[in-house]
Amino acid sequence: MVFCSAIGRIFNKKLLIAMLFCISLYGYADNDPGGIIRQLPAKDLSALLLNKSDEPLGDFQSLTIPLKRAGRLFLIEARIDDQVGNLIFDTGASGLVLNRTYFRKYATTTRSGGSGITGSFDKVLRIVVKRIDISELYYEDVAADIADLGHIEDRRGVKILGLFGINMIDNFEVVFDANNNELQLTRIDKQGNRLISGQPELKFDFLQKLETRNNILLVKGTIGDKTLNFCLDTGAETNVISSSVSKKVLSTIQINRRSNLGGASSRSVEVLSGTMREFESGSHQFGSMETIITNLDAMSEAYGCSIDGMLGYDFWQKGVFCFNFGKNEFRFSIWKGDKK
Amino acid sequence: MKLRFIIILLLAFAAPSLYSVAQQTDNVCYINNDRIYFQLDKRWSDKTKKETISLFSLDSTLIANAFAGSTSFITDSITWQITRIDENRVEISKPLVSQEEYLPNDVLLIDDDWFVKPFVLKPMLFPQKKFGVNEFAKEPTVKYADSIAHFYLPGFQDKRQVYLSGTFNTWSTMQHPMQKTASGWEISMKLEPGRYLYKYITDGRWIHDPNNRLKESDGESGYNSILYCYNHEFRLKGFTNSRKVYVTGSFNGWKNKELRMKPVAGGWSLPIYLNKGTHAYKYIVDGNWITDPDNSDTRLDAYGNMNSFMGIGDTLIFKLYGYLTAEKVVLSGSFNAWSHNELVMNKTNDGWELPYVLEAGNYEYKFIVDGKWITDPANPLTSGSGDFINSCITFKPNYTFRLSQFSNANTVLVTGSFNNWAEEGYQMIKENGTWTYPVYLKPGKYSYKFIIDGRWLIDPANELWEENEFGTGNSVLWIEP
Repeated sequence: MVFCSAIGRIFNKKLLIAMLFCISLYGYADNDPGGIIRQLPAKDLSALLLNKSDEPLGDFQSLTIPLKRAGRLFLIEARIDDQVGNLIFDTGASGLVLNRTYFRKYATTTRSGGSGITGSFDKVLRIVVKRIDISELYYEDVAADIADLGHIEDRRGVKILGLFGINMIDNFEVVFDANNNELQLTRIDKQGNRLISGQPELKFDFLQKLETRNNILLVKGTIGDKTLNFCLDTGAETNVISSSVSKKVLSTIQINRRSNLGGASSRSVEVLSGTMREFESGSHQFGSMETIITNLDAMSEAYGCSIDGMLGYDFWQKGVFCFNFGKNEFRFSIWKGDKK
Repeated sequence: MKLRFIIILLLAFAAPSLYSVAQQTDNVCYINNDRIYFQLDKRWSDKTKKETISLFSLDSTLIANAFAGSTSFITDSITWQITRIDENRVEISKPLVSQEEYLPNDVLLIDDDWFVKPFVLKPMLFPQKKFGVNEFAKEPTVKYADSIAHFYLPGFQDKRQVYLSGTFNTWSTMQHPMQKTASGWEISMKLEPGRYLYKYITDGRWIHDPNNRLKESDGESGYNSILYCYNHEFRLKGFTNSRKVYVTGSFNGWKNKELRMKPVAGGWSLPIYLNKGTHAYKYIVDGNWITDPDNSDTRLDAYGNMNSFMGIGDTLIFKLYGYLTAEKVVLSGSFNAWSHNELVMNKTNDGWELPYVLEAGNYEYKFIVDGKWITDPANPLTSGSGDFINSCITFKPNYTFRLSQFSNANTVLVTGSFNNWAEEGYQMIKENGTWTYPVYLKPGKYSYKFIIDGRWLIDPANELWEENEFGTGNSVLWIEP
């Protein structure tokens, strides 16, 4: 990490401001000032996309990937063709999203975007990279969406090649240990059983059913006796509660701070942050967690299901979490320090 | 992990001022029936009132009106309802407005000082250490000589891969694989003298160096090992019959039993890392304080004690040719906050000169000749325009901006995030048809553009660029450590 420059940047920030940044997803780069983007006819690239094999490869049954930190983001170092940098481990992203800055020379096609409630974000540029190397894990001919992620680099001081969604590793049993900065991958069969022999099953204290909808991960949780849908998002630097949840749920959140922000649009945006005290999932009552309260309607609409909140950084700090997509299980153990 | 440590510190710095108000305002704000409520107490101190207003972005006029007995108040087109709870407390409320929409594939970033963290303890503020000596459990497992650091991790023979990661490679997890030996793992790498943090990664697991006693918290449950790559050796000849010899100086607050020297052939030695700058020092031989017999640079301190002096760092010699009839020439620049009387230059046979110890960096300066400010006539690199032109110098440049086109242009500037996008930029100079400007840039990301006779252009030779708010793009440059 670039510690010194990060300090400078953080100190320069205005007090009391938290921002939600939208990633602008561009269509064709008509205003490309360098004219660098080369476009293949759509049908050629479609053939490439059909033939792609983004199966995770590598001579291992079990692998630990070291994670790095930048702010509250978890980073995986990767080499993608001739670029070396970091991917944000982001279970809230669908698949692989790459930063346009470093992948302009690739042939592109478009696909329909998932967030098109306004119509303006409908088209998403898509490319195919030849090879991705992460520790001993590698992929060949991987399709990826393209987005502008420069603002994350500027705010966190690290080179961000893209976002690494859970789909990239959903045929592994995935253990995410934020405290030790590790991501452990173990090969499993279609039923979710470990293929590695001689290693005991990992033991976790709590179990919750894992649901996947449109490439996002959902678990049930309760606040104030109300059952809610939470998106598991390792790319969120804070938990989020939807401002549309019931009054009873909102009344359990202690509001600690409020700010009026002039957002990208001309209207004033109100951001609230607070403490979530009564969150329970997998029969575990979690201790206090930071959260912001914001509008998740667009996200719910895009994914076609009700999303009441997102579990981000403060949640992942609480323990060790295991995703098993064969068994649709989300298991976890909680560090002793978590207050009940 | 490592950056996290800094963030915790930042939170800790932000927290104490908010702690008191956080306690008193625990139940200030709540949401009910799509309205947001604030309960305010007249008995709060002015400080608490101010901090509450700040925490919740409230309007001070609104608060004053609420306490004055109003039943409603309009500000920024929002109608606030005001209800009196008792003689000291009022409740104000307004509709909960729709917040920013969060879209799929957004990465939710947050400023580190957003959340109140009343449980974070105020950190002890340690002064920055000006020196360092390594402490290994047994034989040093990291050795540094001739700018090469050799790292050795004994054991871990059952591991498939071990990597070295630290501040020297921006904590890369892939860049420096170690070689397996008969007894462990090793790697050599070129390093400048300095203080570094590092860890090993054994089959994906971060560990600190088990043989290095110098470590600091990594902000999680673990530690970062600390390594000093030395830039000086204190050496005292003779005194071979003495029992204990220490070195002490301005760098360690003249502590007399901290830095013990080791006996070597013909004398005593202590290799050390010292910060750049000038240091006063003395040796203590069996309790007797002595100056360095091999160093003639000695000066009296304020108490009349004689100390030895030494300098660490690189010296740049500023030179102004001519002006031999001037009475006084002063050097002034960004390196000394443009002081106009501090750095008086020395007269020589052909002009004026002043040696000055500087860190690598980009500096602006001028000479003051008998009160008149002038740029350096021997230096073509300048910044600014009109009456506000300064000479520019890059000490130890590590990157050169180059533009090989537009050789017929009159002026070519380079500007970017490294100089806060100053429109006057740095004026590039033409060499063999190519415009160049050497700079020193700390590791990190920079965006920049060229300005060719007033026209802004991204770097045609750099394929990395990103969008800017004008839709015209900025070139992107990463400087690696």
